[in-house]
Amino acid sequence: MRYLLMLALALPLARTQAQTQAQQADSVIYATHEAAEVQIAGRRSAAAGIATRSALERIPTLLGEKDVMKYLATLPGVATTSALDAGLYVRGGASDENTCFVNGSPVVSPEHLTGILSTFDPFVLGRSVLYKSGFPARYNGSLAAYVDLQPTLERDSLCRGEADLGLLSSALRLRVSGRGGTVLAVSARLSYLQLLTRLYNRIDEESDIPDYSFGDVTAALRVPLGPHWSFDAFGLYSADRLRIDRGAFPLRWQTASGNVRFSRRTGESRLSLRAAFRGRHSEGDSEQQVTTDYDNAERFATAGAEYGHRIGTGSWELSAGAEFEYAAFRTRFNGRREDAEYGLWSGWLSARGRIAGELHAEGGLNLQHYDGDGRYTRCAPRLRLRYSPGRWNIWADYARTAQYTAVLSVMNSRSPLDILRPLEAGLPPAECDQISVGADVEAGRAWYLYAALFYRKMYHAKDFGSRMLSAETELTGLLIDGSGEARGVEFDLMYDRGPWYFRANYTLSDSWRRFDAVNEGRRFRPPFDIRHNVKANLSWKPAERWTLAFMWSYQSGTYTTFPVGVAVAHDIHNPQNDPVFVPVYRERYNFRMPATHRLDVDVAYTRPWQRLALTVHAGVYNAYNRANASYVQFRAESRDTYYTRFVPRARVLLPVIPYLSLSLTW
Amino acid sequence: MVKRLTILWAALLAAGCHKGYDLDLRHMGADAGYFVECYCVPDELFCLTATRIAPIDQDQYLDYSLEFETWITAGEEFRLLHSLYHDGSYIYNYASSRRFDPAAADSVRLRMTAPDGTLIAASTAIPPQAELDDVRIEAGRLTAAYRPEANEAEGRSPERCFILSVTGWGDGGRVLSDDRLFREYTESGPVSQHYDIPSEARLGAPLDSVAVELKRLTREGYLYQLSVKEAQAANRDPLIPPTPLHGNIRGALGIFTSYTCDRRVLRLRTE
Repeated sequence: MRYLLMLALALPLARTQAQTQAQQADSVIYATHEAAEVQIAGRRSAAAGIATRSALERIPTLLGEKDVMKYLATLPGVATTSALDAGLYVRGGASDENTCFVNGSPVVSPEHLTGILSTFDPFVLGRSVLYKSGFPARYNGSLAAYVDLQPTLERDSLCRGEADLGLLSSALRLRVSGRGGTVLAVSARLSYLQLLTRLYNRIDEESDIPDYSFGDVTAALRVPLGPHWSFDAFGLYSADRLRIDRGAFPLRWQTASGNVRFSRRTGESRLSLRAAFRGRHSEGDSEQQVTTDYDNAERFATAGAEYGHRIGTGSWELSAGAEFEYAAFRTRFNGRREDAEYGLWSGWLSARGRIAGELHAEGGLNLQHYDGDGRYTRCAPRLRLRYSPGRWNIWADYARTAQYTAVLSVMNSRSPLDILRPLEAGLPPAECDQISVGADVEAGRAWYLYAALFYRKMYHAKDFGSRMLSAETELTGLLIDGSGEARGVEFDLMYDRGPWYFRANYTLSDSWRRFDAVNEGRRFRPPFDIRHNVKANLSWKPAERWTLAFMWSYQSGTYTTFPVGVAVAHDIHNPQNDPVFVPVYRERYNFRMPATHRLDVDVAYTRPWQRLALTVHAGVYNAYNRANASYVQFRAESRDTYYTRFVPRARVLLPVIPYLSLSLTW
Repeated sequence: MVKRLTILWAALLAAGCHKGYDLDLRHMGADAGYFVECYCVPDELFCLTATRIAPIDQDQYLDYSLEFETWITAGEEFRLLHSLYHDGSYIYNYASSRRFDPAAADSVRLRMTAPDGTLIAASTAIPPQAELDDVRIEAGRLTAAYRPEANEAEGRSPERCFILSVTGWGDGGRVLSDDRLFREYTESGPVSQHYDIPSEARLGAPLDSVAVELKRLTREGYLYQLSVKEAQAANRDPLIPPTPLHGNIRGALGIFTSYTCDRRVLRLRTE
């Protein structure tokens, strides 16, 4: 019972039936607020993430929970590291080197515990574009990738809704259309597993099941203001609480993002004015762990404007924009404050259009001035060429990006409790030059093939010299400077015809980092260096109401840190002066874990009933019960009376998990 | 139907549970080197342990046979002899018949030459004498009072790092053991540390006596103890990031430091 509840804690049942639609990335798109949906012109660009209208319905996900970010993780060049880490790792970059945008403004990713819970609700944010390369000039501030999340605010009905009721959480979602084209979409989710765990812990005094609860609210609004103007607003708030060891170690974290945007669109031009706020807050307190109490808050305020204009015969567009961001970091460690702040001015120019025939180009320049604990001005050129003869798409792009923050992991893997830190005096911003070339083709009526090469060179990459967070830790001075590279090749094959959909992709990549203060200055493989990454997805709709989906994934093992030896030390805490074994950690990321692979299966049945629709998902996560290691613990084994050997034992967090989920829509 | 499905789901979950599996360790990297540990305690013999850190992928055994040339300077230089010394609970492989006199020097230095010629050196300051003012138990709570500035030389304000250990004895054995590593920021005392004594039901036996020890450490010794705790925690808890051991020894891992100690014993029951 205890184990089942612990699994249930980690695996909530949350479901969504929202439709998700992709947005093409390589064409100029003008969407007026009168249109029912964005019209997609031009070819699919595999440099950006592809999520078709039914894409999310075609992949089985853990316990039936659909999530845009989880779908993006199935694309070539995108990886995840473990069940404990919710981050996306794009082309050998770290998960903190990505930025998500809504309505053109950056938002905080509302990470819940582990990577199992969904982050962005696709009912509200139904469209997404992942930029792995060929970044528009307006995007800068992250080294690896940008995700443009777009609210789903079509006026397809007066009121559309969903109600999900699960074992661990429930959700209510509504989209209402008002007069004049106003659309409001709201989603709220709340867990109640904590009631069960508290009850169980009260009954069993020996039990110490973690007490975890979460809730989030997402809302998007669009209000047309006449024939050319519109007003958009977005808000997202999430709150999580985790109490470990019967409440002796309470952890809390919250995220909040909000933005407003005024847009003006005509056939020739577009103008947008926007303002945004985002923030994260986390705190913890314990007397039983080495890390004692801390309180961390990060707040960002952003304001910007962008103007685009078609010129000539309309095949070219010029755009320009400017933005200012103020960031404040407030961190308290055991009563000691370590605050920081910065201002970041950004400006950009870009031009895109057709050069001749099937040859298109997009070029731009992003200029940033950082004013914090040090002043830096950075210039980031962008260039993308695309040749599209017939059904082919051949491209080459170059982009430089810069980043002014780094994430300090509080735990051994990325978590919502991580602390974001700005640059320190004497440490310039991290920069990355990326080159990508590729081609895709639509073969016949059903086939799509894609292949791409990428190379990324990082300068002044950032990491932290020490991961020990204790009463003696001073965050200032921990940030270190280094370099890195990532390169790889991606292949993607898709078949989509009638009831059958098949997609398979393979990524071969190589990523390393180097810091003078780590591993004595030798290169090392970071934990997100995934050498081989394979995904295969099969979906079949034998009838209108039925959908079967299979997803098989394979990933090379990630690098982790093992002790290089064991020392026998004197325990002076104990008046008996007993000896203790102390693991000796010297090198980071010195052991490669075994590869992981699994098969997920999902069967969906939808039954309409009057104005309602009931959808049942039944499936299995990790259908063949592959023992994918989630973490490792060393165990002492006695050998031959006099000897002891420390044996690393891999622990499996997610074995085979069957699930059943229900959703009611209207 | 729902009940059957629930039972089936639970059965499948239970059947799928993995107890884990052992990993094969290979090519774990460079030799970890030597480990040296020495605590210079006033009025106690100079004792030191020097070993080679056994690689993680090999059998662990305590090899005290390595021949180091070991010298300590505390006022004057003298050599530690290689043999096995046992103080009742811990084994050292180097010791001297001299007792540490903190009045003889302001600092203590270590000089060693390893069997392969590696030079090992360290030095340590001597912390002020730790002093407990009062220790009492009232209503199940132990209070240990002390003055952080006690015995400090005038004009000097060294960092105040302490270990408070509480040991309880009952039914002929140790039934309670707890300790606290902390740094005292209070300028001047009296300061109290409190500890809630667990109930007899939780201890499994009535307490006959409670021993309280207050140790005062150097900053290096304190950081070393923190890093040891962190390394041990990282091994137990997968969420704790692994961190290297802190130390003040050049040419080896470990610690060469000094601490002072004050001890009180409270008798709770008489025969």
